[in-house]
Amino acid sequence: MSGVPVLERRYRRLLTWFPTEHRRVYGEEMIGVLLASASAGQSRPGRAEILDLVGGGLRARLRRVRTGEGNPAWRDALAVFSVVAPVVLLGWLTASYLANIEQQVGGPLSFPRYQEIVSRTNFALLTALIAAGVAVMALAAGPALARRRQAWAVAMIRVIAAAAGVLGLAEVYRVFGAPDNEFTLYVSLIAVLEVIALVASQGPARGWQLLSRRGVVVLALISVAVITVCTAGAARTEYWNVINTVLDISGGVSVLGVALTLRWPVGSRLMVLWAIPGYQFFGFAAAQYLFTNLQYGSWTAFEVDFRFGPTAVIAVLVGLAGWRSGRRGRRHALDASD
Amino acid sequence: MTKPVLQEPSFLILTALAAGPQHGYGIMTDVASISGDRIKLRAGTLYAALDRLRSDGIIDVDREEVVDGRLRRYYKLTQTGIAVLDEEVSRMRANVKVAARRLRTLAAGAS
Repeated sequence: MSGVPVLERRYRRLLTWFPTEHRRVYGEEMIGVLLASASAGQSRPGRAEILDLVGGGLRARLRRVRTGEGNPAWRDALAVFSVVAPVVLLGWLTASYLANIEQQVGGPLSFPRYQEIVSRTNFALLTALIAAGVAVMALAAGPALARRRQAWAVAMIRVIAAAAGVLGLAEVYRVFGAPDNEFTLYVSLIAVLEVIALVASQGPARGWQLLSRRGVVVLALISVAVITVCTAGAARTEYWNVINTVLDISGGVSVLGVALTLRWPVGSRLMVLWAIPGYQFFGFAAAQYLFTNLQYGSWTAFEVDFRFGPTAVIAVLVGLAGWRSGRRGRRHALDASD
Repeated sequence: MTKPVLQEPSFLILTALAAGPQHGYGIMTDVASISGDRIKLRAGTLYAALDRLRSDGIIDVDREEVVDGRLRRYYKLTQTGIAVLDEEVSRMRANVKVAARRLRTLAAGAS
């Protein structure tokens, strides 16, 4: 049958989603089964087959990482990511939040101006939530997960902090109108990776182990610098894009700084992981094109829900993954003590 | 710590192998038949499950054959696999018993 070699070649290409070791053991057998299941004259894998092979391959890869059969450098990079991502994200969120307020009031933030904003929004509660979340999360993003009683608390704080941050910014945008930015995609992609990192690696406890004191100092300094520059700069410039540019590159600079303090190849893999949210720019360009074409001048409540809702849902998933990660860490600790 | 409950595809794969050693395609068709065509395993899901069950020591390779120039590997249940399936069947049976009893009580109350 002339179609078979073409079909086989396409199946083989799809099998590359599976880890090399899996392909070595099961590859030929899987090709046999796939061809036996194909209908006569079929020359392309069906959509369901493609999804199944891609999903199966990703699950097999994830399982290898989780059980330690996979590449330890990736596992370690994910563990560092699970610590670095929430800290960078919170820095970004704080800078964006404060810069937004200053930009909207048109000058340095003072109490009367703050009261003016509070009178128009429910900022007081949101600010308190964010401040509490940022403070605790930045301090306890990692080591606490290895300890029994604090695991739940930290997981829940992560949820509250992320959700409050998202809702806080959404509120700013709803009331004052949003400057163009790629906030939602950025946060969503980092949060998705954070879930993967928490599930597939040994989690923040290992991440803190790998981060040297130098790495922690670099991360803290860059985060503080970004917050300071954005907050101070927002009141002094009319060009929001300047602030946006600082925000956009801040994540990359923070991770690059941390990566340089890590041993090779964990550092380079951390950079690869961080590059994934960088693809937000493509998504943002598409979203902007779509919204512009639909003539969305300012964000309505519906649009805010539409843009920010998914991120809030993902924030809950991050919390759950953090909780599971904490449980797994405790189990390992118990097994080790037996 | 309680053992994790088997997911339905894994349960059906073990049920298929309880009839004797089978190769991948045989397991796929048997699972479809056992589930009344409700569950149709595809190659990606099947081999991810077989790999997991094998590394957990629940199944093992029985023998290998080459048919029409292609590798055909037969899988079988291990002693651990038999125990896991047996435990799962007992668990499901206990659940079914409770559900059936409650349904009877419900039906009696309604009449």
